[in-house]
Amino acid sequence: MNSTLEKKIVVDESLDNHFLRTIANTPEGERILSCLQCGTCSATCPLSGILEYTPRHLFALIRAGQKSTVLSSNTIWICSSCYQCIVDCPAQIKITDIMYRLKRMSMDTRLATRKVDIRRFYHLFEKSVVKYGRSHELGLITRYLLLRHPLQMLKQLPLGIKMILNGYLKIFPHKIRDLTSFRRMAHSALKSKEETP
Amino acid sequence: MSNRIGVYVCHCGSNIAGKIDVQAVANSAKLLPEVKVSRDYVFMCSEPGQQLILDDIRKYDLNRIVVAACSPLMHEKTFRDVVVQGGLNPYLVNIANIREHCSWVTEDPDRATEKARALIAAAVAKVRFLKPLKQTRVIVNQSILVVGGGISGIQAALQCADSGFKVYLVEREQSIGGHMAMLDKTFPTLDCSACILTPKMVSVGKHPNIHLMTYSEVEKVSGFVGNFKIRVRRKATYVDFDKCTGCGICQDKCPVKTGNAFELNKTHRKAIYTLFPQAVPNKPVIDPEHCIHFTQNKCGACQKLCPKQAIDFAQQDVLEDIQVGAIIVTTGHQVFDSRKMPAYGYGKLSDVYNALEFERMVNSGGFTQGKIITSGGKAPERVGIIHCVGSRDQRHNDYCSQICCMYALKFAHLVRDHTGAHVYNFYIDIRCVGKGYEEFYDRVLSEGVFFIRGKVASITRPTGKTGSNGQLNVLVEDTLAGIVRRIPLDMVILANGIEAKPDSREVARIFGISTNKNGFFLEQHPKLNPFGTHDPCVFIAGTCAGPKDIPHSVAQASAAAAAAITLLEKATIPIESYTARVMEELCAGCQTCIRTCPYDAIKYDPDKKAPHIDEGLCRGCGTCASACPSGAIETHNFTDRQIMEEIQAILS
Amino acid sequence: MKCLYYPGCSQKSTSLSYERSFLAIARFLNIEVEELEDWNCCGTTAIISLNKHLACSVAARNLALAESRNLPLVTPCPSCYISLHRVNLIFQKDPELAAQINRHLGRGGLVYMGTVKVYHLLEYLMKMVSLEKIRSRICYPLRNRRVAPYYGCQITRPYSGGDDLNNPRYLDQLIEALGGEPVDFALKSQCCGGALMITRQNVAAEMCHKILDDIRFAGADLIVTPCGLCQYNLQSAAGRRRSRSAPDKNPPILNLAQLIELTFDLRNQDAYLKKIHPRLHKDKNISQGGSHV
Repeated sequence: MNSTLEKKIVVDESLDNHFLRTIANTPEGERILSCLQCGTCSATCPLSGILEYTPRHLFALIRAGQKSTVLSSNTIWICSSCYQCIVDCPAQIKITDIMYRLKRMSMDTRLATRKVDIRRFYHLFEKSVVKYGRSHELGLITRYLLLRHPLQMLKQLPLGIKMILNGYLKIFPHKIRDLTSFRRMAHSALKSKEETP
Repeated sequence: MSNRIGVYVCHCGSNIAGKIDVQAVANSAKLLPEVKVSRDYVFMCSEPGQQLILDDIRKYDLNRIVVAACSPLMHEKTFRDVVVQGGLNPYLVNIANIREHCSWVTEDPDRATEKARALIAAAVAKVRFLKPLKQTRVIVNQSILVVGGGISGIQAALQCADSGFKVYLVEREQSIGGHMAMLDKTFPTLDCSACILTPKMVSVGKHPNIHLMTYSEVEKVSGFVGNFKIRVRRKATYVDFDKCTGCGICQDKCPVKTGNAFELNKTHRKAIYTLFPQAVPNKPVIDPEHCIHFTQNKCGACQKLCPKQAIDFAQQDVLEDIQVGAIIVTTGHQVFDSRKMPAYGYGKLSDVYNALEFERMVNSGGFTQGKIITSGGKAPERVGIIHCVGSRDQRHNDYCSQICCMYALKFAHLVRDHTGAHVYNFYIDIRCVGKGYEEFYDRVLSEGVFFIRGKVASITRPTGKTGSNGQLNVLVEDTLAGIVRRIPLDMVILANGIEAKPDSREVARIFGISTNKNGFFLEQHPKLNPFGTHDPCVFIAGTCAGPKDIPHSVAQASAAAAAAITLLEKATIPIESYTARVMEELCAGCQTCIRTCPYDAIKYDPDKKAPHIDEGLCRGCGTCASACPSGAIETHNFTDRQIMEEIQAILS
Repeated sequence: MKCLYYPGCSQKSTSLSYERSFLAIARFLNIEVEELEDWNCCGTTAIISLNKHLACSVAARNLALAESRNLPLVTPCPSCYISLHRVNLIFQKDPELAAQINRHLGRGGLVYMGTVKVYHLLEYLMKMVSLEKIRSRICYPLRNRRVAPYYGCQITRPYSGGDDLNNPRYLDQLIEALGGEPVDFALKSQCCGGALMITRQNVAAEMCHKILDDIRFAGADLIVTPCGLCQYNLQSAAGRRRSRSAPDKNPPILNLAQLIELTFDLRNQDAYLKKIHPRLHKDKNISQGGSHV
């Protein structure tokens, strides 16, 4: 029964109490328990204006066991890995590295929502690398923009063509020589499960 | 050998008995050689526990005791006193640590029990070969040295002097007063700092029992407990203090202007100068690095104009040797250098101040005559105060500096009171634990100060479109409101923390005390003896022992003084019994021991052609015994034979 | 002097000019540059977002290939530097993960022992080549031109290669050595949003404009950046503004190798500057040297 008064109150049974401990037991999450919630990371983050939750807020949610909120937020994907937060954090928490871990967890738990299309770009990137050994920029950009932002692609077409003509974008992907062994290595890595403590 | 040994295995409640099978261990101890009685009991340190030993000594005519219990640091003295009561020499009791070394650190109960058996066997083996040692007492010199003339040193000196003891107060600067002399008002009462400090300073200056040595430093400490020889360097002031009346003509006429460190270089002083108007002693000193006479051999105006001919350019440093029975170290602290937080722009941006700088600004004797003004000369309309600068920070000082929240609140109040400006305090937590402190916080809240919970990420002075009026921009997340804010301010005050002085480790070495990882002096016990050190005659007080406010400094200083007074009143003090002994028949005269002794306790006796160990200076560290190539030195109750027996017992 | 060169995918496409200029100045500095044979993509920020094992393995493969050459590995791309350096740190501190990575490498017939020394280009120039050597090759010093050193985020943090994390100085010192005057501005290591260039183009553009505005107000004749992606991102953002309003007030944005190349005597390459900054092109000081975009 979802009473009006109780709707917004989060009861402990609905939270994942293991979530904080899981993160705290990862190598990068070592110091997350020492977070003072001072907010330096949020203030120094150049992207805090467009994050669904500022970094500090995200960590508060982790500590409150709000696993699905955290792993479906756009914060972890929009992070541009500038590492400014790590330098400024008085508790020396490896914030950026935790963001990467959360990205991977959101993929593994399938909690990354539709609205976060950035992961699709990374997926295309990964596919390109596994296929050729290198990222094929033209292929990546066209596949991603065609699906997600077709208008943007049209606007960029003239520049794109210029770059192709000048040799700055290659039409055909470059395949590395030892592709077979590379793919064997890649598949071995893809099969491995990252340790989630 | 016919010893009669009693073994007592303590349960220590469940601390030992919860892991180790104490009965089995006591039983197997009975089978050890020369053990006449072996018991286990729930708390050996309790009165009935002690009585057990006493009764057994009488009943079984015991002459050696082994107590298997907690660390000797806890109760060795207790059991020594017990056996003395029973008529034995106190050094014939041996403690086996089966708690900190066994039950508390071993997971498996069976292995813990085995280890306890081995430890007790070793203790029994050693106790068979222990010899009774004499306890010598030395007379304690009836003077006290206080190092550092801040509020802690002043308090300690006055307390000792009032008790009738002679006090030498050595202060590095030219006046006593320390950091407290720089403050304007003190929290939470808002007492004027100088008004409450200067009466004490004057008392020190006038006290018949206090020999005040300012502009001086302790260079060397030698001697032993209760009998320290202190070498003090009295730095050359180039002014004869006996002739000088403090009239100030020299300061008026001196042509040199250089940075005034007391005003944190915000204004200047002369090359001949007093620190501040209420200085004790109120006599100037000459700074040879800036005085034209010393640098260019010219001027000499002060000498020409002094009505008392008190200027003496030929003065030299003087070394003075004094003897004291106790030392109280109160050397104080330094403040965190905010340049280590480059995001705050301290040192680069104008209108960003450190706490002490603001303290001097708001002080009516300071560099703005007490007016709170920006670098543009106007009163600020918006002032920010940032807490926790350099503190609670893994990159700088991980501890909390204890005083910053309170002085930040004090600043907030002063700014509101003096200027009516909008004040923002940026904090992570507000720490108000003292008497009247929380009430002060409530007062400041009701005065309309804005409290934003968030640590400021950066202070910038933007140009062009993004800035406005050339104000400072502070970027912070208001964590409670859940928004990131950019706040324009006219002035920002950094509540920078306090830390140990840069030479604290060298100073510690001079006095034979230790420091913790942050450079603060280490107390003997953090709870029960925060003013003592492991040297029974050296005490510490004030911020040199850790960050603290004035009431805590004063209390600690009085405690240290009381402990020093107690020591001196006893008139004698026992010296270390575990000293080293030279077996002259084995000595080859190589003098290795003399070179290796860290306490300079060994001197060569040319008549005997052998080393002589001064039992007063010897601390029983054992270095000489291990260094001696002939094995001619042994440390009492740590002889090779005794230790070998211990090892044999463990291995068998 | 010899080094192994790890280009990274961008150096072969959008940052092609960076590679051209780098190879040119290497010749001038008598550095023998050997491109790492059959190198693969380091994974950059993309793969570590999806799979840690794959990310470490693809980066480690390059190190494994480099190991047998016994030469320092130099890369101009800060993101590649981070990926490669990260593997080295794993091999130093996390033997379990290192063993797992070697297992994957083993499936590809390789193994890594953790001995390759990785440098980013700026670090290599400062530490191994030395400013003295660079100064000795200068033919056309910058003659006090005001150059804004835009470091970007990933070369400064988290592995700065010996520079100060909060207030980097390498590029400032290099500019001085080249005869220029480094311009101080607040956002010198602020992120330009390069990682979001494709997926959040507007956001990245706004981040670039903030930086360009800050540089403009500080007053600079040139901008130099050691990151090819930052150069491309800043140029795109500057270009977008330019098309909408009046002539571009932003100074030319060069990468590290291009700036150095400007001061060495090479083929007449003022076409680039002529094309986008005819005003500056007329100035003899910087009209010689410089590569095409």
